Amino acid sequence: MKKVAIFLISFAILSIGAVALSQTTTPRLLERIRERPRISVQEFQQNRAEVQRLIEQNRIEFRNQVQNKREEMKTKIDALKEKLRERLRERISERKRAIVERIYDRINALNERMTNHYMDVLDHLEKVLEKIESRTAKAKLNGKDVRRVEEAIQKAHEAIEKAREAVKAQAEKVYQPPQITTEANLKLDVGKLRQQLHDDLKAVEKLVKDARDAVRQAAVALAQIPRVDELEVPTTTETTTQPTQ
Amino acid sequence: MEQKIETKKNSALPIILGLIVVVVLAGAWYFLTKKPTTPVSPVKTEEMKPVERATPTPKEDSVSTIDEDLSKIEVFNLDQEFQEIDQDLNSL
Repeated sequence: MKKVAIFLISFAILSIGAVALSQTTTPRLLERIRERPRISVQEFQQNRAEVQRLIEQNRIEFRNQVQNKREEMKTKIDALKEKLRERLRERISERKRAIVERIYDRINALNERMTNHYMDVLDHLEKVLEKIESRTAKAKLNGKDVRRVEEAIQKAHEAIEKAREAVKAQAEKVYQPPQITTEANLKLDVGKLRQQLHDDLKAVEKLVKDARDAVRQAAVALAQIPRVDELEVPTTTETTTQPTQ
Repeated sequence: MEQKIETKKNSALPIILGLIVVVVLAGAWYFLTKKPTTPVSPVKTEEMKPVERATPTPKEDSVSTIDEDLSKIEVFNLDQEFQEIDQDLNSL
């Protein structure tokens, strides 16, 4: 009994640890060198390269997750299209039927196109933020006060994460076909679906723009450090023992 | 008498030969100096190229590069993206 309990407890601890590790958190250069008052140029570059590698890895994983979900959604959307076709066949003329079906296709295609675009924007923002962090770290290693920049960087990371979650949720959304009442109401019925997509994308767009503004704020704070571009990782002096003559 | 004339002839010969050599040399000098000279194209001195100042390439994490990167990030105009859908809607 005791052995079983120990096994279960250790299994639970290991599972929690594995879940915690699997959570994709944005890798941070500043955090890596926080406890290092002195660092060699080589170590700095290695850390930076590692952060860049992790960012790229997270990006690929994120894209794959969305892509897999989209593959699942495709069959669902096809089934919904078939349902719409049947509904339209009962009460709508052939010409208008084709238009409504096309609008439904375009709604789904536009959602995919826009969410892909927002993902691209966020990827670029993350890369720019990494550059801001790199320069901030160099300023910090040279003894400059970078607290304001660090705060702005933190806010920018949070804004990017928030926007990324929203984009993911939007990318995985399946839009139900419009509820068709009568041919006279067709424009109104289909218009509701169009408005729903527009409102959803507008909300996501706002978060993406907020993230861009937050990164911009971090860049502005960085630029306020005097002669920040001239700062590099200070070279650590190596102590060599001279042979006594 | 004949002997006298012969010695005179012998003494005049080197003078004549000397004169001929002088005339030939003078002629040669004249032709050489008066020879129309082909216009010599002025030696092109290598044009002084303005010294190209090596403009330092900005570091990839410099403020200017960051600003440039940020300015390139554009967000599509959402209303424009809805144009095709709106056209279809209007034809209903």
